[in-house]
Amino acid sequence: MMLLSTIHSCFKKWESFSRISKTGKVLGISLFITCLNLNAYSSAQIVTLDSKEVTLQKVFKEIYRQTGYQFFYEDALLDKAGKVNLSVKDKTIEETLSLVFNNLPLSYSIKNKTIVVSPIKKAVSYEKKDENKEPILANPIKGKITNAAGESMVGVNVLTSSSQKGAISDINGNYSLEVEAEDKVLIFSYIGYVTRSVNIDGQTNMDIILLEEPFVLQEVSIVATGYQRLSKERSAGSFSMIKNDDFNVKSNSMSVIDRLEGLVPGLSVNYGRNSEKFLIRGLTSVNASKSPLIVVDGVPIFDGSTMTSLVNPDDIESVTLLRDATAASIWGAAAANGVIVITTKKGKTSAAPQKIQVNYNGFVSYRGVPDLDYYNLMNSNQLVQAGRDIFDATAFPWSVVTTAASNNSTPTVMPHEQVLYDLSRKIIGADVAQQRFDSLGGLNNRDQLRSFLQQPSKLSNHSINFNGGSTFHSFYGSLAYTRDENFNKNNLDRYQLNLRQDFIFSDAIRLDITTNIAYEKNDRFLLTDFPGTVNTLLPYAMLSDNGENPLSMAYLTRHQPFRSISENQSRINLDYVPLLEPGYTKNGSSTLSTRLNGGLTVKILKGLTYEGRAQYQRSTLDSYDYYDQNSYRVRNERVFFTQAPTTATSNPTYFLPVTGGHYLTNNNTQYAWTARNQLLYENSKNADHQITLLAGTELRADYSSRIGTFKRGFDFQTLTYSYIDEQFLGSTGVTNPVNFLPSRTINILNVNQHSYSEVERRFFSLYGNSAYTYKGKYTLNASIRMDQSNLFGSDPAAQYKPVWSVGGAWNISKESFFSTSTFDLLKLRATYGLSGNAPVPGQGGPFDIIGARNSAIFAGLGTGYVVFTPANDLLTWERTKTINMGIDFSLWNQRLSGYVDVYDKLTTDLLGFVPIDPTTGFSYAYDNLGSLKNRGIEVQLNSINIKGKDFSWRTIFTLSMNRNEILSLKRSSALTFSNKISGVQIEGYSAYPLFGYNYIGLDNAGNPLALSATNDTLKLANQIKIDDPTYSGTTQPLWYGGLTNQISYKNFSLSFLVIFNLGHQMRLDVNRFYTGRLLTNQPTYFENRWKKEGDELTTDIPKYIANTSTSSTQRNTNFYTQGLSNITSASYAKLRDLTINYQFGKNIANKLSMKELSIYGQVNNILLWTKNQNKIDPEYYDYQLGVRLDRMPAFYTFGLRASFK
Amino acid sequence: MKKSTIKSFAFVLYFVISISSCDTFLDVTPKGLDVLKTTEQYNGIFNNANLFSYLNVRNQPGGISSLLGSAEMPLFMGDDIFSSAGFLNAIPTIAWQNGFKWSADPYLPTDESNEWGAFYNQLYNYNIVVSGVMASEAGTLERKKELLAEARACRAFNHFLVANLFGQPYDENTAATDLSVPIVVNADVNASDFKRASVKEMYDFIIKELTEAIPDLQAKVYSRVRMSRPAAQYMLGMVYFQMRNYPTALKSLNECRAGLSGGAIPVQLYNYNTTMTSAAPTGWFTASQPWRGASGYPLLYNSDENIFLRQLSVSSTVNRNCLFLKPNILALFATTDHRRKLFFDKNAANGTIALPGFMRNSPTSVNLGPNLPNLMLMTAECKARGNDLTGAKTDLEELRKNRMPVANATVTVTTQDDLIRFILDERHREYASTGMRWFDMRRLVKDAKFNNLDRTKKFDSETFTLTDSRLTLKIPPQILQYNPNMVDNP
Repeated sequence: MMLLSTIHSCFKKWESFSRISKTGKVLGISLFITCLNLNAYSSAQIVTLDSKEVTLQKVFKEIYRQTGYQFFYEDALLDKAGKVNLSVKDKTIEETLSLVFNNLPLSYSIKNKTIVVSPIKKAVSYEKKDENKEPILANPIKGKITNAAGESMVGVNVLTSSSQKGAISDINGNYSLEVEAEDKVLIFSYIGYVTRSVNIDGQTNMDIILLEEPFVLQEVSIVATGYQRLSKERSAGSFSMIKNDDFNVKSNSMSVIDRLEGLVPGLSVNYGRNSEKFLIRGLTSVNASKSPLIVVDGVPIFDGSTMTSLVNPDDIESVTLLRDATAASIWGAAAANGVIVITTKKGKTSAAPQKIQVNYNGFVSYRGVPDLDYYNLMNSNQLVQAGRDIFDATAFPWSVVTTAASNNSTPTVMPHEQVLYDLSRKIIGADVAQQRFDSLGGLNNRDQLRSFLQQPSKLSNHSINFNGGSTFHSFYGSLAYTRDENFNKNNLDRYQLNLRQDFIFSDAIRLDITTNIAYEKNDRFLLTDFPGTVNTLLPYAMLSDNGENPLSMAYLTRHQPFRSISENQSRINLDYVPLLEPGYTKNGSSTLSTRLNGGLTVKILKGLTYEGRAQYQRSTLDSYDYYDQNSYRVRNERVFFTQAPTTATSNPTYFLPVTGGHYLTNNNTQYAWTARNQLLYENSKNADHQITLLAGTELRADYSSRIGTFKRGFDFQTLTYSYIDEQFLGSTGVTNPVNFLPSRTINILNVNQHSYSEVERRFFSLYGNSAYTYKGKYTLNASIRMDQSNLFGSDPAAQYKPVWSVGGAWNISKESFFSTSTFDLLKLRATYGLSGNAPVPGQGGPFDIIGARNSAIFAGLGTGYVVFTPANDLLTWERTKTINMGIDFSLWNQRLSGYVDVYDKLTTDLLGFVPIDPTTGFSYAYDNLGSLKNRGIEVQLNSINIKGKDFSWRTIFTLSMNRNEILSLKRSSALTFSNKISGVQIEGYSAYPLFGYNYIGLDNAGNPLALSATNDTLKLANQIKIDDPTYSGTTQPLWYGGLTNQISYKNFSLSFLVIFNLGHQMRLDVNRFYTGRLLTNQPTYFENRWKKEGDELTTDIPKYIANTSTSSTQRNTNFYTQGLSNITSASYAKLRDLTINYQFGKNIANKLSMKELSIYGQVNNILLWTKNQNKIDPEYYDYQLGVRLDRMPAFYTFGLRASFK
Repeated sequence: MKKSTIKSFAFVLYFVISISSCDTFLDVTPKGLDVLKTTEQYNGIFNNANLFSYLNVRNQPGGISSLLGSAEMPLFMGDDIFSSAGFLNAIPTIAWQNGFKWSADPYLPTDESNEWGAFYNQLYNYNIVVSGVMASEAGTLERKKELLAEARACRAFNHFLVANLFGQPYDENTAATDLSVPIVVNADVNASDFKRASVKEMYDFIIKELTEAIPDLQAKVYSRVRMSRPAAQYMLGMVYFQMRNYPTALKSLNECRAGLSGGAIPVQLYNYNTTMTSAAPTGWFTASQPWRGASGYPLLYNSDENIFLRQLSVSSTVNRNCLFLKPNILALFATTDHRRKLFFDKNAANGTIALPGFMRNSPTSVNLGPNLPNLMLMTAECKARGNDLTGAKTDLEELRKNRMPVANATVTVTTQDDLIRFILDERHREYASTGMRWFDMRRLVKDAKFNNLDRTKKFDSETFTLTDSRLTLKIPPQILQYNPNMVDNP
């Protein structure tokens, strides 16, 4: 913060500079006003002046201060005028001006609040002309100067090329000047705009459009690394840039990175469970971070979720992906997984005062509820039938299932089992049993699950942005509101405020400030202690009767006689009515996030620029959950800490409060700041030798803390709580409790009532980057960076390990021998470099790292310490070497353009826990454990297929291929067959391997058989050898990408994106219920199991054996469930989104006081092509386990975009 | 250069310089993490629950520890238990099943060597204290010496425990050449190629460490989870007892006994005549639920009978459901002996499932470290072997009076040999099915006169026979893999 305030105070000084522009045009810039006040000029038009021997500039400034009238003039004119004496008291502006200009060779005109100063008596120059020479009265040239938006530009310099005559455009953008015969060219220049030289060629009316120059180069040709914006032409690195237009109408997520799917090669977005969601070019680490670094406005953001909170996708100008070493190594060690650079929008400077541009964007997206049919679960009849088929009172005697056992301290019996036991115990007859089966079989709880536990999921977003600017100041601001209603009845409201301002003090000094504030509120539906999930709940388990009265489901928690005994002993009601539970809870959660980002640019010398940037980011989360004394959670816990009365008349002894509930709070605070100073040298004017040099230092710190509290016996109204004896409950424990906790003979309470944690990391970095281009053809890039951090417990000397890169590019299309009109661009690139991953603070170094751990057992003996990490001074960084080669091309006047990249990444010294000799005292230590490589190809093609007046069609195609392999990996113990099946990383295979058994079918007893690697028949688990599981592929897509088509016809446009992920594999979801009691719902595959001899000819599904130990000693059902025959291709393609947009005609928009108005409709996830035959949607699936997840249906979005006049 | 430019340049320069002085900026210690500096931090190293249980633990950043396994082998290798196929197969750890069968190679190549790792893992903590505490800050010399002594005593006892699994049993005649286990006195994760010490070197080391530590330790028992002088004297006595040097053992054990009174916390026997005849809150035994055994028995760190805790945790009742007391051991209990009530032939959870034998239902954990009953049994045996029969009987009856009605507690045997045999039987009764027997088996195997090892276990139709070699576990394959030069046991 000190640095920020220094920057701030520094600018205060600049405020006082009297002369800020060497070709200054506008006086009276207000430096630190907020943009909203920009046009709120002083309304007084009365002037009082008393000045002696002052420059005109000072006079103008004072008039501006008093009246708000701005002056436009040319510096040279005022220099000629010299100094003036003035004394004016309470005069109008007109009177004052006539006094000021009296006797000066200047004239002026007033329009609105602008005063244009121009030389008086143009004829004077004619008088001075050589009389002998016939003036060539080439017709005076006139014209109007506008910007790209068609707005008039006032104050543009117009200069003749030879005679050096000049004019300035007036308030309407009109200019007029006479030229000499020698003048062939007119030069139009304006600060902030590209200077144009236009051949006169005898024209007399020349309307000119000036394009903004920017401070930043044109978007198409530049890339942003976060540290600098480079001409893409001059970089050898592998970049891809996606502009707002390509992702702004996607409604699949409010995270911009989700929206990049299929638009950019190299980035894979994975939706299945147990996979890294975002990967750039495969994975480069096994244990360290695998996710890319996310940079917003030049500064890394603390974490991905903060990015979603703070940055509305609408406000993003562009996103750049940095993929190879040359692109990313400027980010140092953090860049090994690639970098995503997000640039937010800013206002545009404008010569003329103009109205603030206001736009509205909004959409509402209806997403529905998960598709319950996707699970293929049994209905009640099927379930009851299955329960009857497999009932075995010998394997599970009534006396056992109804008694507490060490691993099942609260026995349960499901309703269908109850009937079966009643029947077998001859409590009811067959006819009564049949009646009860029928009534259970006739129930179906799906509608109730839908209506009571779910809601249709919806996402809506509304944002209003406004922007504007003058020559010296521009701003872009937005207000946004997002509401996300999840199907599980959790709702999120998010409010965002964003304001970016650019201050242009002069040609040499610029400042930008961005402020973001986001507030998020979460409201959760707490359905506590619901056993299992909605998907596994027995289908007849009704939540409510038909009269809509909530029903007890206590049978899910304790069997009735057992429950009554517990209730009698504890005198605590143990009924469980799920639908009443939410009413016994309260919760609240809110997050406030802020970001302040400021940058300063000072041109120091010709070509040399100082750039400073600082960012402060903070977010705090406050949340609480409250379960009152009626909630099952509180009642149930109390039972475990109650001693039963010893006699019939005595009372139970309670060790937990008998009134009040559980109150849990959570408070997270994060802040991070970055301050950067860099010097940039550019000699871009030199045509032969273009050099860019960048060097800088950066300080970065991030901090996060978490405080959690948990109070029992809390009264929400009085905010007080009852005391409990933590030492007793946590160490001595309750003997002879009413119910035992699982595997306990004395019940011990987890008394962690408070938790605190805090992490602070600091970094200091030095970096440099250079680019040299010779004649626009040959480019060399190099960069280097060193990071030092407070990596605690590590040796600072070991940290000065630079990461670096070099690269070269050859622009063939600029070679004289390559003269073809076909190619606009053909460039070859090659780079090589190093990046890495540093150990996380506190994970190894020359000291033993300890952490405090207190336990009730050691009360009074001093703070306890545990050795977190043993000393290990041989630890080094994870290092990734990347070679990248690429071709950029553009053909037929950019009708077809794109690039191809090929890369090879080798990561060595992978960090992770390494098995070591337990004799040393540690069986694992954090160390360097192996290496892996990634290879791949990336292609992007953009084509403009049709470009007509009314009809156009554009295509973007991206394709990526990535293959990775673990080259070496130290293991904790020898590899086992079950390791292989579970998908751990194994030397010689892909990082996400999938292995299966060679299943050959069922034997005539209905048990599965498999073939071993040596072709022996396997039946039991203990026969399996390490080589028996066979590699069948990887769960990570080998090929992925997207195809976008954008078609527009008159006011209609249509765009759609097809994404594809190919070449990977997954386990099928199959029956996994082969033994034990039927306590949860199961997929219908169970019905097709082997039941009698001969079935093995028609089914592959093993038989059911009630007794679990008989089942495990007879066969190994994994041969089937994890068999190769149950592994299938996970390849799929999906129509991710299809959008139809209608843009209303200008006249309709105008009638509504709008400049533009468009509406769009979008459908997402409507078409799916899969290679599997089992109707599995691979996006809602766990590839490794073969489990279906909540599948959301196709969803629909309606959106509106308007820009107001 | 214009004035403003100069100003800005100067400003930039100031900025760059101000940032370059960043040493203090990076010099922050993250909260929750630290390196050992103060004497009290070294003290805190001992306040770690993992150090009093035999658990092989993996510590991870953030203070999370995951359990790799526990060191329960001594229980399974005892000669006082039996099992049957269905029950033994339910044990999740194959090594323990093999241990039960006295197999030559209990550990699979892929196994964590928990019995080895648990003890060496704890050693790391003691070794960092030994190497660093004397140079630590903000502590008195006396305090530092006390902590150093505690670390050395704990370290010595850990070596004793691991040597009694993987090292040859002590035999005076061959100790110089018999192999024990590596002596590890440095905390170094990069150490490699460990060498096994001889049995003599190992015992010399243990005795030296304990002897030198004793004077600096706190004189009285002030916590059952922290080392004290009586605890170390017990350990020294137990080491000599295991070496069958009974007179020297008796000297240390007597010193221990003398030091037990007057401490901040009581060290005394529980009277089972009360505790095993009443239910909570006064007692532990619920007559209507006899299968629960002594279900209210205090947790070991709260038990008055313990001097210092080195707990063999039986990880769950699953293991307990697999092991049953041999009938001949069960027959040693008199019907009035309340210790018999700890065993039941139905499962502990509900008393409904019939078992093929009597299982120890609770307490399931046992303290293999200093405890009062064993102190009394050891002194009694030392006295008996030294022909102090009266003294031996006094110690023995003092224990028995707390385990059964006083009338039944009297020891009636008269000869020295009978008394020693009676004491050995009493050890069975006190520690049946706890793992304590393993130490007696190793001690008595070379005792020509009182060797009472039961070398056969029946297991369904199979019979397993104990050979002398199997009283020493072979070095786990995992350890041999790291130390290819290490000599394995026969």
